[in-house]
Amino acid sequence: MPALSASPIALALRIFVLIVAVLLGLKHLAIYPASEAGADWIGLAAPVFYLWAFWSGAEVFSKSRDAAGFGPALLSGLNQMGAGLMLGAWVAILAEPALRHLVQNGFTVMTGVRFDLTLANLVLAFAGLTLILLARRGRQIRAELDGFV
Amino acid sequence: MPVRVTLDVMLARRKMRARDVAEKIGLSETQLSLLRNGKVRGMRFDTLSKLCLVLDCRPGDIIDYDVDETDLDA
Repeated sequence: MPALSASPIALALRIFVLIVAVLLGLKHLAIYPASEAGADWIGLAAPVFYLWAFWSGAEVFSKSRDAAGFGPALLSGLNQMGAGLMLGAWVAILAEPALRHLVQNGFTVMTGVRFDLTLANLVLAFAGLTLILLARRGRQIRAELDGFV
Repeated sequence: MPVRVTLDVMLARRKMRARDVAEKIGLSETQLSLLRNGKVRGMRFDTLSKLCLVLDCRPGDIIDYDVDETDLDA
């Protein structure tokens, strides 16, 4: 996880992410008490990845203000944000429905493929992939620029 | 590459050390060494300007070009 930055926007974003994470956990605890915890905690998997993407986005905001510009830290932030979005989306589409189904049936019914194909998740996965490709292209451009003195 | 960096010649003419020039123009010694050996993809105009100022010369004194007909194909 990236180190805390002095940038006010990045700091505000990270505080926001932490607050959202706590609220999300509390909401889940309120709806599904610990004694009933089970399949529904799986629903937190995708948001965790989305929050990680959000956290990495704070890094991008922080580094985009630096004099270094399109540097390795910014590219790494973009890459992590893309990975977070893509993982979150794929967890929401594939892993979460499948795991929920398995847990609810006590791992007795192991057949069939469960998925939750929503447009929002597909768009998020696509946005994540785009960010990863953008970061990769950025690294190539950075390497090209570093060849100039 | 047909474009050659002739910085060594100018350094010798001006009797200046690469280390001093690098320090004056804000490059590291390594970067200047790569430039002197032609192991860079290019030189920024601001670097060229600084070199010209420090070495009291024209861009043509630092870089040279050997005609190569295949350049248009690149």
